[in-house]
Order: sequence, then C-alpha cells, then structure tokens
Amino acid sequence: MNVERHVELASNIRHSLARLGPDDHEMAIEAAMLAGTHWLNAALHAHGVAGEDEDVVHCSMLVVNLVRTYTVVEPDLVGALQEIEDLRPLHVRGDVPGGPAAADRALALLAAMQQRALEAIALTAPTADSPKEAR
Amino acid sequence: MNVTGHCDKFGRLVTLRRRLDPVEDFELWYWTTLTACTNAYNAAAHDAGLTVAEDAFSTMPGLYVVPGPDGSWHRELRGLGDVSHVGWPPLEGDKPADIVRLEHAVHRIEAFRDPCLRGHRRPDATVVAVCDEAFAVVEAVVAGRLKGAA
Repeated sequence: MNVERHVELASNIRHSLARLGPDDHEMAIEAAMLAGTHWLNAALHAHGVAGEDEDVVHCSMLVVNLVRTYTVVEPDLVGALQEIEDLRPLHVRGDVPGGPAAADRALALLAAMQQRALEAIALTAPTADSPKEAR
Repeated sequence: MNVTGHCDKFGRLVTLRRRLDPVEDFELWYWTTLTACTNAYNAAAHDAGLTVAEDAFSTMPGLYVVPGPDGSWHRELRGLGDVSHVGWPPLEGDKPADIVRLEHAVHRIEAFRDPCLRGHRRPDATVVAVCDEAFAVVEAVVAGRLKGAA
C-alpha cells in the first residue's frame, strides 16, 4: 500500500481507540500492533527501502535480512513494533495478569511510533504537503 | 489457554464489538470480531478434545510461550494447543459438525482481512452484513457447545 493509505488506516484505528474501556486490554494491544505496523510501513515506503508491494505484516514474520535493513533505517520503529508484538502471546492470546498495564505500554509505544513515522514522512518529502491525518 | 479463559475473552470481545460502529470503527470492529472468533474456536476445539487446553500461548504454528519454574516465560516447540488463527495451523482429521460450521463462518469473515485492513477495499454495508451473518453462526456454536462456560 502507499504511504497515504497506511496513514489513513493508522489514523482510523487511533480514533477508534477512544471507544475502548478498562476491560478491553486485548484490543488496545491489537490496535497498537495494527496501527503501529501501518506507521512502520509508511516510514519504510517514505524512505524508499520497501516498495508499496512489500508491506510488513508482522516483524516476527520478516526474514532476518529485512529486519536488519529496516532496523538500520528506523531502529526505534522496528524496536517498538517488536515490543508490541511480544505482548500479544501473553496478554492477547494468553491471560497472564497485567493486561491493562501491558495495554498502556502498547499505546505509549504506538504514540511514539506515530510521531516518529510522521517525522520520517515529512523529512523525506520536504517539498510536498505532509499526508494529512484521516478522520 | 483453558476453556474458561477463552470464554471470558469471548464475552468481553462481544460486548466491545457491540459498542464499536461497524463502519466508522471498521478496523477495530473487524479485528474484535476476528479475535472473538479465534477464542470461540479454541474453546470449542478444547471442549471437543481436538486440541489441548494448557498454559501455553500461541505464536506461530508449533511455537508457544510457556511459563518457566521461576515465573519467567519462554518460547517452546509443542504439540497442538491453541491456534493463533482458525486454519493456522489447520486441525486435521474428523471434526464435529458444529466445529466445521464454525470454521466455515470464520473463513467467511477472514476473507475481508487483507483486502480491508491491509489493502484498498473500503468496507461497506455488504461487508458488515456478511461478517454479522457469519458471526451469528459463531455465537450460535458457542451457545450450543459451551453453555456452562460461556
């Protein structure tokens, strides 16, 4: 997908987060994973290191050489998404205590990812308007 | 995870699903639906004796996160317990009719995952109606098989 569509979908998810309550830690973590993946893809496309037909679905499913390449380009984005993904087995697919705190951590990582990705997009397209956030 | 754990998650996800707007919040509404389906499937498969219910949490097929004796967690290769998605990995062999019905319903929902969440397809009333219809099947299977636990 292109940068604009990734930004649109990530922004949609961010707006829907307002509907989550304290009992919804699984979906907060999943929302962070889904939206965070869009932010990583948007940044990688903006840098030109991944084509629009080479989207990351999960960091955990990338081949090692791509993890290394993407980590060189966007270390904080890759690290944040890996940390979010690591929360899923315990708190989304499992029922280990501490789900709400894990959700808070995932959402904090997502906020940082959004900020970094928007910076990357703006930096790589200095003469064009930055993509506007969708609803 | 055990059946009770799956049913607890299923119940909370159904409640959240009703609170989300299927079009305005499509991405989270859809993912909540899909996650509820996976919990329903794992609970039903455990109940039918097709898979093992235990404190081992799925990642990719065959690889689980399990507790260590010191309270830490580590990854381990194991036999089939929970699946991460219906069909990933597939349950082989003969299955009860209600579980086959559940699988078909989830596959109808899954057909929209990549086009709508990782592609350019815009969700509309038709997509929502198909998902709702299929999810009603999932809820019916849960209600029938897991009366005491759900």
